[in-house]
Amino acid sequence: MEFVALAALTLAGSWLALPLGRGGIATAGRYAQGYLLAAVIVGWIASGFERSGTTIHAWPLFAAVVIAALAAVARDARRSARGAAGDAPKAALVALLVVALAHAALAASTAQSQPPFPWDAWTNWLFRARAWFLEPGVPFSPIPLESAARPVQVPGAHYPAAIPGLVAWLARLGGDWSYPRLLLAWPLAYLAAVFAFGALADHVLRSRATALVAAVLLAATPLVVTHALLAGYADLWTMGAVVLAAGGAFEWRRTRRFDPRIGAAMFLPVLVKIEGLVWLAILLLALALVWRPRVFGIALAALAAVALLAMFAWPGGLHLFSERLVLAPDLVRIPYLGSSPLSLNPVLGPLVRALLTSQTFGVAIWAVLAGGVASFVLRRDRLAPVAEHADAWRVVHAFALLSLAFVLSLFAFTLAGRWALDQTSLSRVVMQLLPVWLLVAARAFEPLDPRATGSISASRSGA
Amino acid sequence: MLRAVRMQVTARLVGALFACAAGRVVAAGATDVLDANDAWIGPVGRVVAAEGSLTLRGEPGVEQAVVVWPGLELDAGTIAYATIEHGGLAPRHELSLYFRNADGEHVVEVPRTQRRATLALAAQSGWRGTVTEVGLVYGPDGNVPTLLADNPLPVPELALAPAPAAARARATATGLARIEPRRGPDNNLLLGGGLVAACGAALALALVFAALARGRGRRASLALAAVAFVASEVVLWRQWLVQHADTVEVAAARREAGVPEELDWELVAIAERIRAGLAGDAPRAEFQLAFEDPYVADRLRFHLLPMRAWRDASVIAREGTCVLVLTDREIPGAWLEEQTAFGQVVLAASNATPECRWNSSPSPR
Repeated sequence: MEFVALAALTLAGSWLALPLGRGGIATAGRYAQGYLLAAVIVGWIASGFERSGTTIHAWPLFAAVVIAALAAVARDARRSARGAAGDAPKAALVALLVVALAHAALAASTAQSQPPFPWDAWTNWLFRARAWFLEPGVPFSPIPLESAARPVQVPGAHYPAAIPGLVAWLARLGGDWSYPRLLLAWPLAYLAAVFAFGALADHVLRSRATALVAAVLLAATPLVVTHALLAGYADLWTMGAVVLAAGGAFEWRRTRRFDPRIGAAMFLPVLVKIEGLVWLAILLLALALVWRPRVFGIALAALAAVALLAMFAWPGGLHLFSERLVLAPDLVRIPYLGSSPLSLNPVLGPLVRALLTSQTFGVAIWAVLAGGVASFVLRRDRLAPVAEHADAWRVVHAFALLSLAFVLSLFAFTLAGRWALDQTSLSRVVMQLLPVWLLVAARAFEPLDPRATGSISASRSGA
Repeated sequence: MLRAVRMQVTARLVGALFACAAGRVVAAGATDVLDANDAWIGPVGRVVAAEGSLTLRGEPGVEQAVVVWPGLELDAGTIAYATIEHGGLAPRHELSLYFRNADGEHVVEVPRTQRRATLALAAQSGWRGTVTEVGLVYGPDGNVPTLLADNPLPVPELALAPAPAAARARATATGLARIEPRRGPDNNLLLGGGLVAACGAALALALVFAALARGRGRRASLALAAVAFVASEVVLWRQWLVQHADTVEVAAARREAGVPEELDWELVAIAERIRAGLAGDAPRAEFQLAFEDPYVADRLRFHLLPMRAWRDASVIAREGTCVLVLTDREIPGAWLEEQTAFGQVVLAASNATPECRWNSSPSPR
């Protein structure tokens, strides 16, 4: 039953998918987006029921998903009857299919033999799913205990619960807690993230070959593959959600119309993991800076100046809302996100090791580096607004640069540097943003000769 | 004259024989080989000599095997590399080189390769002075038994060599071909990667040239980038497949042994017993389990689901232990006492100090 549910999610969610990509890539991208969107949204709905101790939701929710899936099948049958031939470069397409499917098969096969991987899977995500499955309505509290009601304590009790909700829902449909079946959701999330990225790249880049090669690099990135094998972790889902959010922002600026599907795509990271809120905030900032560069540029500079003044000029720093918001020279505390002491951490070595000299990001991060050198240093004309939909591209560029600056400052100045020093969380945060950086880098390698590329305007046949 | 030469040769032979009797001496610049034909002992596990090769095999329940070549007299200054020929490590097993000198015993990790490993013997690892014993230690790479019914490691020979270019090249090749583990603190940092990084650097250079060039130059650069990508995939897939085979083999062994496939199957079994015990009609009281390692505390909490026992978090108590308050039910007397892979475990009803101490290290987080 879990398999049926996963397939139905893929089809049902396609109603919410954005029209990204061309021809066959668009179709794959639509289902890929569909899987990520529906799995996370259904998981989020299910988590609401699980919190309240209600278990009756499983089958009605399944029925709704199946009905939406059947409707999508009928829709797509009519569409394919009209014909939607693709003209993607064959070699690049075959390479993408071979690389992505081979890694997905490896992960799916491993899921049959490997229990959930240590740490995150069982301290947060699958822990809550299993607790809900076995004890509906069981409450959670962050460590240390803050409630007298003695709820179950988990480190990430305040994390979004869509992934635990999804797994608990699948387990209810299956009738038992079976790792080999439940963990298949992760190899599918890998495929969905890769093909959604492929469709987005195919949509925004002039060169279809370059777009598919970028997708191949993402599919072959060792840490991305490892997270398909690390069933139970949420970072792969976050990465996929960031792809959709970036696609939503691009489409918003390109079409100048706000579609509800754009809203769903942009909000998706928030439902998956706490970092998703940060990525959405940075994306919105990027949108604002592109929309009204002077107004928001000045506002951002003023905000930064006020924050720095509050931290360093005000005696003892700024303490507001009963110490919930603190901006002090040695401490920053932001409601919901948490607090961290501020100090310069020696993370350059770990950064280089985690990003470049280990196997973690394989050759993909080198391609990003090459793209950065080529486009920002050697050939700035590649970033010039001669490209179609320059505003939409500026949003992607701004998001990539702001997120890079955020990650670097996070690890260099805050408590997160501890994670950089022992090289655990650093790389997976980078992984969540890797597709956006790859997308920007890929622009540097598009052929300059317009005759070598397809027409970008004619390509928006979409889904 | 002839007689003098003959006497000199005889004296050297006798001296060499005495040296051999007293211990083994390596001529400077020569490679010395230790194998089944030399005097060896197997103090742990089973070590069997057959067909000119030593086979190291763990005993059931111990899973570790050690072979030692004693009575040596090796000048560490003349030896810079050790090459171990072997038949391939069993899944989730590791091999270490052991040696003893005046400073005491030393153990150096041998990189996991499929057939042969060459490692540099640096002074930092204690390789100095006169080495009197050399050996190999073979066993599971963690504190959790793999339950593999058979984990033999054939070792045809251990060669100790000075620093010729060939040995140096082999050591470099070993480092590049090393198969890294995929569990432990490196969940999100995939160790190793010399070859992959080299491929990445080549790809980056090729792509930069491709971005700047046109025509044939661009095509050649892109072709080079494609070759770099394929080479990196070959390196990575070799590791993926070895690790996948490891996972499947260990899972099959556990299935055959009738134990859970969880990494820490002993914790699963203990959790089942605790659950069963708490399901009875025991009077109410409070339990505590104490852990020296939060990893085990967290892991056991996961396995104890569902039980309204683990409501209180594991907290750091005195002496660095991690205490998990289990339940508010009382169970008379000690009802769990056994030796596990995590150490001696005793669980008893108590309102005093924690009774159950787990000695788990290192934390595979």
